[in-house]
Amino acid sequence: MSYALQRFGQMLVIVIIALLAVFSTQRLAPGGPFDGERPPPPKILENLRAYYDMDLSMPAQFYTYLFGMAGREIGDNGKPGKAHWFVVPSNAEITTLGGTNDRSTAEGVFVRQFCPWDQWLGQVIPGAREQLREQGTVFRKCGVVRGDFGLSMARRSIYVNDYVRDGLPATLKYAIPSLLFALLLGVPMGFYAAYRQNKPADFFMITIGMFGTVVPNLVMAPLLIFLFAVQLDSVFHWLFVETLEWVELGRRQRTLNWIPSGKTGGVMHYVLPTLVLGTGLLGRIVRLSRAGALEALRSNYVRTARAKGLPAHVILLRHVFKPAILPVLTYMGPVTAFILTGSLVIERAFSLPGLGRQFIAAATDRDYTLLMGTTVILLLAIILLNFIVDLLYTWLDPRIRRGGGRS
Amino acid sequence: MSTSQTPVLSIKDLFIEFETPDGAVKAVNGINLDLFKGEVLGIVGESGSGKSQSWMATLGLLAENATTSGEVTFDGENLLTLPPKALNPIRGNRIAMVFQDPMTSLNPYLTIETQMVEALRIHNKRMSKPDARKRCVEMLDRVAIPAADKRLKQFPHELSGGMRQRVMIALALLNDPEVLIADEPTTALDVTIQAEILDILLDLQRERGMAVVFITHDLGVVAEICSRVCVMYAGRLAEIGPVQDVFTDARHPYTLSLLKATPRAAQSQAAQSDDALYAIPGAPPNMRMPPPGCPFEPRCACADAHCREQVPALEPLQGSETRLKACFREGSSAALLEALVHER
Repeated sequence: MSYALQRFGQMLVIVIIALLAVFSTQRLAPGGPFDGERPPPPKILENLRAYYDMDLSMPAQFYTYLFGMAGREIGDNGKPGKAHWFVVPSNAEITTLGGTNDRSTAEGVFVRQFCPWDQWLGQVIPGAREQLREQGTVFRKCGVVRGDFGLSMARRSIYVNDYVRDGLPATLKYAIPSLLFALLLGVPMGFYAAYRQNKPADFFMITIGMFGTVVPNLVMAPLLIFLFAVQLDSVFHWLFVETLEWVELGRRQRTLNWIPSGKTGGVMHYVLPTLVLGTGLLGRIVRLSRAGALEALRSNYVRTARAKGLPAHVILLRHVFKPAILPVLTYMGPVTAFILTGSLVIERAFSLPGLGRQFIAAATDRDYTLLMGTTVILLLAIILLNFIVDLLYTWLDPRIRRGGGRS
Repeated sequence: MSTSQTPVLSIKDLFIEFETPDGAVKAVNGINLDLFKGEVLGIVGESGSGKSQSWMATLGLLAENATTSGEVTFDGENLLTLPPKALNPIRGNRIAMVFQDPMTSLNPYLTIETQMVEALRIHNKRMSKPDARKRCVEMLDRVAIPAADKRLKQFPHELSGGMRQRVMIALALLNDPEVLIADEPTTALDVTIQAEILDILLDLQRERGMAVVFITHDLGVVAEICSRVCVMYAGRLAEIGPVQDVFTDARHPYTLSLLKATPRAAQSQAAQSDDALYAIPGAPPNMRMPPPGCPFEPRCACADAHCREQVPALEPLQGSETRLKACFREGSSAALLEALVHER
């Protein structure tokens, strides 16, 4: 238990350092979210920058990003004025600059700023406060600390949280099946290959694994589309005519519903993405589990197990499984994090919604908040999965269990 | 030793070859050996003499790249040609093995209990888990492991080397085997622990009347516990005989050199050497290209042209049934020793 707590503390430190690093590098890099071929007029630019707190100093910006900000005074000529962290003077008004009007109601204006202790500060139209509070979570949080990643800078009416909330489930729909596909197929394949080392079955498994590793997703995707959606259609047509979803193309012509046109949904749309993403992983998993199993099979304790007269399947499942699965586990930690946070190639190739494209969009648009948001989510996923892998390690290997933590 | 009875296990013309990228290694070149009921047979030889491999072969534990020929007969069956399915009921049940390295021979990921109970239950399908557990505790008690009940729940890394080797012995003896092959069971242990382990082994051997094959390069241990000894060199048998006879009156130059090279082999003639530790000159032959004649010929002080051309067969000594040697040279141990000393 103390081990878990210790690891949790380490994770926290890593997250803070990573946040600082991403935050400062993106802001130090040339260019910004409001630069473009046709930059907005200076006055609007000034307001925009103020709205996103970019007129503040870098440390101040980082602070507001983490904890949110109390409010701002309205300066001369309605310009954004002084920033207040915790306490706003009574004469200060909460400002709404930028495209947040859609969230404002007749009774009250939408305000994004709350103080760190969740206490409403600033002036609101009387009676609106309670109503605003009731309306939803958006009003309740501010700052990354409370899980609010802020507004996107490129598309100013969309919250980063909303991007993630919409994108993540869509990504998980093809990410999780592909992970399961690769694991459930790859590990037995690797074990079997090790068991039949240097026999035809072994070469067959290695070749499949090699194919998966070597052919990149952006080649595999069109390849599979060509195979399944174009070439093999007649075969499927002939095999199970009515059991699968078909799309009518025209007179006496139809195709299997491999790729979403219009809206996504149904199992069919996720078959090909799963295959593409899965085979890439599969190759690595086959090779890793094969290598792990081979090492275990050559060990003295497996020799002892054989001398006991145990049959091969008992040796593989009981004596080889645990040591052989460890390298796969190490690999799966970060890879799962990357898969879960989406793949642009898959999403583009199969016209799926997902997180993957947000990553690229955030980087090319210099959408600071979106970039921070996606990076933090990837970071958290990596750290969390590595943590889980470590816990699994201690669970699988008794030597770590008793040696490291005093539990 | 009553040699007139039928052997429990007999090895005939055993050859073992390992296929390597640099060519075939001829590890064992024609061994003929009988193991009798209730005896402790010592197998002595230096590293690479094929002493372990020839016994690994009997249990089908050789590496993948090994090819064997010959016969290992046990209960009327040739173990070398048995498929794994037919071999499994024999190994661990009727023939058991204790390995050299107790640190790595137990699975670090499984508890002692799992590893012991599985060995019992694979051969006694009807045995319930509690019964098997009880038997394991008894067996651990028998090999003098304190708090056996608690030890069962532990993992190998929580035990000391000596403890682990005791567990290995208990594991091997769980099914009351007829033959126990002990492959250097004490090499990795401290001398004091070594003595304890040997005591336990000998006790159990007497109690159960099983045949024990004791593979070692420690002549002292052989003198202490074995009834018969078999000296191996370069994949061949050099000399076989009752321990006392072989150690006091060695007839093969290699045996004699070995005895001479042993520090403080008190009762043997070889002990009357100089102050410096004796070492046999030269190195064992390259087993990829073994010499055409006697394999010991290049290092032998008594060799002549005949030895270089022809491999001496393993033949009984004149007037003795129990002793065999593979050397052309006739004569007593003293004469051989003289030649050895002379050569220095």
